[in-house]
Amino acid sequence: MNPSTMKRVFRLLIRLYPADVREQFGAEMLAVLEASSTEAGGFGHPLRECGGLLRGAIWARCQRLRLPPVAVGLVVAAVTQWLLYTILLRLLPSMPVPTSAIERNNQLTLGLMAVAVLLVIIPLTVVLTRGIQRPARKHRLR
Amino acid sequence: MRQVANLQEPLSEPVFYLLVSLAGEPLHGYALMKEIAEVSAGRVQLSTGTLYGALRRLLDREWIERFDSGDSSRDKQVYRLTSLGRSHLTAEAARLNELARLASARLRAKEAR
Repeated sequence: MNPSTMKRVFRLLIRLYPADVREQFGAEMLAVLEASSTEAGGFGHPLRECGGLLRGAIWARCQRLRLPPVAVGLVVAAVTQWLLYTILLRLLPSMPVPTSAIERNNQLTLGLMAVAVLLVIIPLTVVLTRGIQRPARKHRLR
Repeated sequence: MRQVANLQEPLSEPVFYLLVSLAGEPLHGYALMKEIAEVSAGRVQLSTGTLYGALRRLLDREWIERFDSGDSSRDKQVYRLTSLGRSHLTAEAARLNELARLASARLRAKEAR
């Protein structure tokens, strides 16, 4: 991907941030992305940068809506699952394209089951790993 | 200072390196990214999104502030540590020293046996 296309992608991702954050940091962020591209002779790690911007935008939006991290995880997981299912359904030649209402219902049920499994697994994982990820409170300086 | 140490939770690694980088002199975003990579020997390389997320939180907490260095433009803001940020960094350094001291003492005691 050439630098001008990358710049357009970065601009687009920065537009996902809330308006006040964009106003405060947007120009600065784009300048930093451009500076790193000039120095590296191309955007050094476009995927890492895109991931960082996307994650930053999601968190900034969630903070604005006061959503807990678990709710964000669930929404992202459900959307990802739905997208994957839709894309795979279109791309994989071995998967039958639904032609009747019954087949469509079967595939919809399968997709909903997969989402339901994720909805159970993710919060369970978050709860079980909370003690591992955030031991901070037990390590305060006396 | 002791009060800050008592109330403070351990800092995340990116935030710690960010504060360490600003402890020396005020820096703008890109210089800050490079400084963090340098002081962490390349181990911590923040993406732009992560860096500005951290900067935003630290500005909200008033641990850092924007600093008018003369050549600051809208797309090149300079940041510096506030006295509150310096207190938190000092407290974190003391906490890490305490942990290192404890570990060293235990290791020495084990070796002496």
